[in-house]
Amino acid sequence: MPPNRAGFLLVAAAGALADLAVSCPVLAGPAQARALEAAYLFKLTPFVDWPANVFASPADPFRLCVVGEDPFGASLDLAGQGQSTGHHPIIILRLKSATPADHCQLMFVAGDAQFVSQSLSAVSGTPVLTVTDGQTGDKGVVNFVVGENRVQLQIDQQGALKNHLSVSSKLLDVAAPPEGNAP
Amino acid sequence: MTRGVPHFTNAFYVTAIATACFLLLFGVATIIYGTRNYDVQITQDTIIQGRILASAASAALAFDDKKIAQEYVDSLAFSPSVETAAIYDRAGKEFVHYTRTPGEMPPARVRRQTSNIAKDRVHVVVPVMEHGRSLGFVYLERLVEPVGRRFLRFGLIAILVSMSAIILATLAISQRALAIANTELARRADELTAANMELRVQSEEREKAEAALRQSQKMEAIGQLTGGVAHDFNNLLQIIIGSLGSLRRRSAGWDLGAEATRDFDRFLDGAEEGAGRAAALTRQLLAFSRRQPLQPESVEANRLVARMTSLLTRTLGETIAIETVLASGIWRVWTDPNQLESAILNLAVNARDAMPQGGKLTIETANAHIDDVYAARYEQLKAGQYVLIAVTDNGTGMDGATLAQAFEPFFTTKAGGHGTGLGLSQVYGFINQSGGHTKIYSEPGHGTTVKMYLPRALIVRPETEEHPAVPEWHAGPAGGETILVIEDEEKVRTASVEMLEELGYRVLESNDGPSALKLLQGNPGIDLVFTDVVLPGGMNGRELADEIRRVLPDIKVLYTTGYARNAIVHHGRLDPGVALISKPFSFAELAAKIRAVLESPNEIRGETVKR
Repeated sequence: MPPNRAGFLLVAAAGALADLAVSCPVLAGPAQARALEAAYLFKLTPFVDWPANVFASPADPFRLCVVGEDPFGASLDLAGQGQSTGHHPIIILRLKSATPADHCQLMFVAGDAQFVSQSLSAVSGTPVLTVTDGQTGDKGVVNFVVGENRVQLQIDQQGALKNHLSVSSKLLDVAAPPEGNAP
Repeated sequence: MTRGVPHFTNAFYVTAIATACFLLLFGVATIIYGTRNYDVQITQDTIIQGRILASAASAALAFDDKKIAQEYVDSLAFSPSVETAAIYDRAGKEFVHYTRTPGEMPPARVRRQTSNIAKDRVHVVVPVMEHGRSLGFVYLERLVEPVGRRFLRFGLIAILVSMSAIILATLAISQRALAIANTELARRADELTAANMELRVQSEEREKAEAALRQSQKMEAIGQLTGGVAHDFNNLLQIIIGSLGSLRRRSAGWDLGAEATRDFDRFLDGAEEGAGRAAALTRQLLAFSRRQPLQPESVEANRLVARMTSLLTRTLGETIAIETVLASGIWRVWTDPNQLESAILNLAVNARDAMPQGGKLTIETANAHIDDVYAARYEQLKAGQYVLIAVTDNGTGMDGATLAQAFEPFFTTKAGGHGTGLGLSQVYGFINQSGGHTKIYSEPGHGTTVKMYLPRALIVRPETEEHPAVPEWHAGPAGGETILVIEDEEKVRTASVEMLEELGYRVLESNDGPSALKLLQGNPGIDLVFTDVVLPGGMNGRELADEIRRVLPDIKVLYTTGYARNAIVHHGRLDPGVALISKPFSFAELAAKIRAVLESPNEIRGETVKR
């Protein structure tokens, strides 16, 4: 089977899973949650504004970095195929560690709590939309949580402000309340 | 007849129809445009509504938050026209939906952005975009006003407009009809006015003609009356004057004593003067009644007027200036110069009496033409050529009432004893008898003009040098000729016979024609027949004379009359060659006339000249 055919089937499968998730948000298992998260990473970009100076030129790519242990694998590549935000094509970088020098606009941090904490600290205060999927410990600006049988978003507005990001109110509208903030 | 009434031209109708057509087309276009525009508008509105929903629900769709997405679509229940709303994901599968009517369902799947109107509903599909990223679709279905209802609404307006147009058209047509009727009415009114005017003019003409006729009939009646009176007076005066004359002549030889003679003469003078004045009056009466015998000649009016000027200057006095304006080339007139002089004198005297403080008397002559229109207004007046003699004063003038009666005999405004009321009557009678016409123009305070029109003389005959004055009586009998006197009035006859005998003639007398003829048969030596014109016995003077002439062609005839009758006077004029002595006559006048007739050559006697 040629790799592109395999890729197409995988995308179709991911689409089918996504459709399933939409029409029936009950998650069948962790794999589906990962695929959904991969798709959500790309869907986040329209709802977040970065400072104008993060791109040197309009042709600069949008860097989506996966720092640490990559939980998505090929599903991320598939989901990101042909994606762009604005005029900027989205490229996927997989990094061992996080530094501001990487110039990532979106950084998904996966790993143990310490790694996550270090990584987040490394880019804290720089225009990076940090995304985590931790249930405990430090969380990024966006944190995926699985609950009510679906992947929900938690938004850290303080963190967003700190990183000079502006999160759309629409996104806040659909975000799940962060723990401890519940009334 | 053209009048300034509203008149609709063809251009007006063309413009009106063109305007109506234009408005109709405009209305149809407006309806179509309005319908189209409504469709576009409602579609656009729906698209915008869809975009709002898409924008609001983009995050909910992106992150599969069905609960929130449902809230958004459900909120469209507040928009009553929205029937169905649904959100689809990128693949076109339905995410959430809302339907107003239970049981209705949105399309199961949408593929792309669309919009269409069908079955009174607008359906739109708009993409859910976020920062240029397509996230899915929003479907909206809204009710639109049905086309039929929309057209019904326009239809109602159209019906209202049509009704207004019909009302306007009806008004315009009735206005037009009214205008036409008005024009017709105005035309008829004009015609009526014209007809009325003509009728009035005719009526006035008729009234004038009737008035003129009445006046002339009245004058004619008065004339006949006065003529009859004058005739009788003349006979009486003839007796008086003849008797007085005889008495005076015979009394010459009487010896009454100085005082008695003086008284006798004084009384005789008084009687003769009174009789003379009475004779003058009757002459004027005859003149008015047109019964006086005229002796017309061809007269040059300018010469006659010029000749009278010195007499008038003496008569009128120094306070009155006399001016004569005599036109050159004046035609001759055929008239009795003595009577014309009397007429002018009468007018001059009237003028003097109208100017007690003095003034100016103007006598004008001119050739004149009387046309048919003017002539038709007066009985017996003929159109043609006339000579005008106008006598004008700048005296007191007369008012209308006075003017109307001015020609009537014995009508006078002068104080008692100052006028006989016969002056203008003489003028009127004489001019009429001459075939002429008289007209007075007068205004109170502005004086009076009397115009006398005398017919132009058609035969030219040399004017007699001077009117022969009555020749002096030749003293003594003139050879004892025999004269036959025929007179029905005994006293008159006696007076005449006595006068003739006194003159030395041998006199035979008779009271009517038949007896005169008998006498003639027994007395062949009769030289002259002296006959009254009016005789009893079935034969008038003229017939008698003609009968005698048949037997005795060389016999002389002298007529006498109290007034002229047709026997010897035709058209108011004495027949040429006829000798006449008017009553009353004096001894001297009779003597002269008898002598003149006896000595006249035979050849002109009986000559007949046709005028």
